[in-house]
Amino acid sequence: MKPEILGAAKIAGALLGAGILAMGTALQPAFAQDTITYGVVSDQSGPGVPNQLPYLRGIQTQFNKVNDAGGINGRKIVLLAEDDKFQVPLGIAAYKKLASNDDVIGISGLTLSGTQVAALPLVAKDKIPVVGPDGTTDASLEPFQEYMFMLVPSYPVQAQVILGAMKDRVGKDKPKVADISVNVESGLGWQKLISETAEAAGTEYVGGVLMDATATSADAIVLKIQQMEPDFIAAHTTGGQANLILKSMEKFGLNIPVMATYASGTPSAYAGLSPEIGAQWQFVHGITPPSVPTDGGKQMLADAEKYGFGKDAASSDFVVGYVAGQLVVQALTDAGENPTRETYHQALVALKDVDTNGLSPSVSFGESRMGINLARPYGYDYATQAFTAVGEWDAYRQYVK
Amino acid sequence: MSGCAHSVAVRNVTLRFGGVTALNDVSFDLGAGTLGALIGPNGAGKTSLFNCLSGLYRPTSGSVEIAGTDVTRLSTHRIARLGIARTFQSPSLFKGLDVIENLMMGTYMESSGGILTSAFRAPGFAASEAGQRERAEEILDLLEIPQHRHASVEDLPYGLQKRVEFGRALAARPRLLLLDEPMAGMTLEEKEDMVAFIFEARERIGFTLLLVEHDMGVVMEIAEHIVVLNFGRKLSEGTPAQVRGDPSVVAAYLGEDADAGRQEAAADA
Amino acid sequence: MIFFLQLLVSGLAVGSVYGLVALGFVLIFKATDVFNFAQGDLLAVGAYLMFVALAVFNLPVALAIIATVVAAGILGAMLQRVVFKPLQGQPLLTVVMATIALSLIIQGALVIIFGSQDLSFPRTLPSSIVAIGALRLSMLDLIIMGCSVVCVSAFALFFRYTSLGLQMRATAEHPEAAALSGINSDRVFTVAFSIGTVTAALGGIFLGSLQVVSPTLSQIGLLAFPAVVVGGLTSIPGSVIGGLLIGVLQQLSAGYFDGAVASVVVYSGLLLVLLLRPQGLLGRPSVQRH
Repeated sequence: MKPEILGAAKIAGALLGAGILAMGTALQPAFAQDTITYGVVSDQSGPGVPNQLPYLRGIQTQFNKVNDAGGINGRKIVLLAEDDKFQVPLGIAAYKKLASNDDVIGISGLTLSGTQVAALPLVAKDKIPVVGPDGTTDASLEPFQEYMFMLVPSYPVQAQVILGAMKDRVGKDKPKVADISVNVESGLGWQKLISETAEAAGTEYVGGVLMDATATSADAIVLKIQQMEPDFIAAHTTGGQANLILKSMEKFGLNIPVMATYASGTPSAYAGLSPEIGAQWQFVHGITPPSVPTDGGKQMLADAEKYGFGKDAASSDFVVGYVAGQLVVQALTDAGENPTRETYHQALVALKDVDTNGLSPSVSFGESRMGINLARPYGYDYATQAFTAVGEWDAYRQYVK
Repeated sequence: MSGCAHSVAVRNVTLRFGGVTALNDVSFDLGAGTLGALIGPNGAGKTSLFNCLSGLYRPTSGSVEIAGTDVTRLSTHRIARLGIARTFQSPSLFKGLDVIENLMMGTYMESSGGILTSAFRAPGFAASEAGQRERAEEILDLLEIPQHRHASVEDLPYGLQKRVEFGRALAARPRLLLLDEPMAGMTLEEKEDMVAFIFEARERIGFTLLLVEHDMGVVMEIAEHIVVLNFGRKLSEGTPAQVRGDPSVVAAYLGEDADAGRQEAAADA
Repeated sequence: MIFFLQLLVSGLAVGSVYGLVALGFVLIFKATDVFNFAQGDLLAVGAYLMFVALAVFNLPVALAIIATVVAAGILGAMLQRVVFKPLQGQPLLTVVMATIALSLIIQGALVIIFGSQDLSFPRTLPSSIVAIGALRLSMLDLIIMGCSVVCVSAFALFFRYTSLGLQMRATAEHPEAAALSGINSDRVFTVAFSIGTVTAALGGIFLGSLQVVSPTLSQIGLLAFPAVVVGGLTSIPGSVIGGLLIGVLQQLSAGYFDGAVASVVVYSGLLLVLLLRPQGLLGRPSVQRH
């Protein structure tokens, strides 16, 4: 061979070899045999961030914790978090990527109701277990979804607890209930739910008011409610709206007790109000908000601080993620040495009476796939600046059919 | 009564924006106290040149010196403080102010203080205002419009608006006065009045003048030194007689007046 | 009748907030020709600054307000220097994109710095209930309305009677002629942005006191735009009146119809005004030759 060609061939050979080596290295470690990949689809940059980011961090905390302790049966779990920016098409695209390209063993998130509903047929086809979205759509419960493992009590369950508990608390034969609902799809659904189930719960529905998410005053809302003369109010609003409603009620001297869904369960609902006024508002939840002192809560906060998520751990959504993470880790551990989607799925179904150390009632998925089918009310203690639980979980089981 | 007028030296000024070359290597001199005129067909670059002189545009290359100071890179408000005043083709009066207040805007530079004094009504403000008002009254008299002192400028007829704008420029006691088509849209009588005002103002204040004008009669009457532009280049420069007699100018610009011009030039020679 | 009056009063209080933000917007637009899409976000910034003053520096309320206002003024001046001065002379679309980008950056930065949770002022402006006949008002509503009146009057006086106000008016009308009168337009622009940011920040302080501090405040701030359009893009008193109108319309429609209908009513009203009087209620008609 001519010297120049030989020289060129050597260079080409070296380059080719280097290229193959580089490609090999690049394709390797991330998803090798010794890791488990898990996916989350949630809003990391859009309007859903206040709730969904803490949720994601809750899951991350559990995964970091188990990795630091050596992994799941010796394997590290890798979290792939996709940002859906609160948009359904992006959420579905993210799901597809995780399910097919990344071949994840399971998924969490899919909290945006539109995404959750749209993903159901895909989840069923891919047979991917979905654990603990931070919100439960009706479609995920009815008809039965094999692979959807729900944690957050559905709106019907919350309504049952609210109507039942308030009826007993008010003490009348057929107390009057009115609703205040945020003017979005879930709020419209809530209004319909209360109006339709009031009768069965032994109460009388006297009307409802919708409130804009960007409203800067609840005066009009409260004046309208005043005209309906309810004995109590069943509400579904944000914390900020709750604050406005309470301020208006104080202005007009109205003393009507309110019990609301978990959407208003933030300290900001109670800010700037006197304890007497704040005592009017309680919200229900299927988990225990972080500020209520429990052993599980203390541990959770410590874990969160360790990984830099201290700020997010103040949110109830963090708890949902944290509990979901615990269940995922447990089921994957139970699934043995080489978990597959199937063995993981079976392990999830088999989970029974999992203790979360006070963060929730004991969790069992079983045939119904509803991990926590219960809620209890919480109020706010101004002295300690923390939420307080109103009674034990079991006291409220009677209201849930 | 006259201050020192400024001389103007334009050296190799080229102005380009996008793909257009508005001015191409233009140079000329205007002596202190001279009444100068800038002429040329539409699109020749006259207003662009004015904008370079008043700091609105920065030449792509070349320099502009006014009274020996290089003003090429200075912003408009600094150039204004050197004693340069300018009017615009369409009147740029401040509609929220009446006639005398517009005139007083011409004297504004003398009163303004720093941020804090201007943000509140500092005591000095009122005192200097009196002096400015006096000057504005003088201008009103000079331009024969004292009756319009408190008129709203929007209601004034076009010719009067241009006169007021001229007055605003005068109120600044400029050392270089740039007038961009001051006679445009005026009647014959108004034009004659304006010419008279220009001469009288020059007597009182003693500025260098550079005038852009299309009406050749006016130009020949006022100008001592003429610069001719065509397609962004300087075509000719000199006294009215020289320019009239310059064949390139005649060909490009003066057109039918050429014969009359040549005959006049011959008569002057 | 009481119902109507009650709603009217709430509407005026809320409307004052919109009016303040709108005022800042019109001011910036008139003086600098910049259509500031980030104005609503500046309201949110004001609220968060106030939160920092109260919660982090533990200042008493009055001092916190002053500190916030000063900080907002400085921020506005910096924005003009860093973002808008370099863009002078660029086409309208470029500048608009810059303000949109600024808006997104501010929203993102607020979430990064403060987290996504709702926050509330640890100490607030007085909010006791005042009864006037059968009407019940919050002291806070009265303070807000009072402050807005003071602000608007102060600005009106400032424009009419001070040298800087004159400089701003002149620059807004004819920037070249103003420059030729020796007015430093750069300084005028800086002041305009400063004041515009301060009014938005004040709106944020008030809104944060009425409710909670959260990234949603940016969206509420957006309601300043209909206020501006209704009042007339170039009219300062118009922007305030527009704000009051929007506030009142919002409350009345929430009271007489449904919350859902409120937005529809507000924007239909906006459309109606634009159809009948395109320059807004107090704006100046502009005629363009084709």
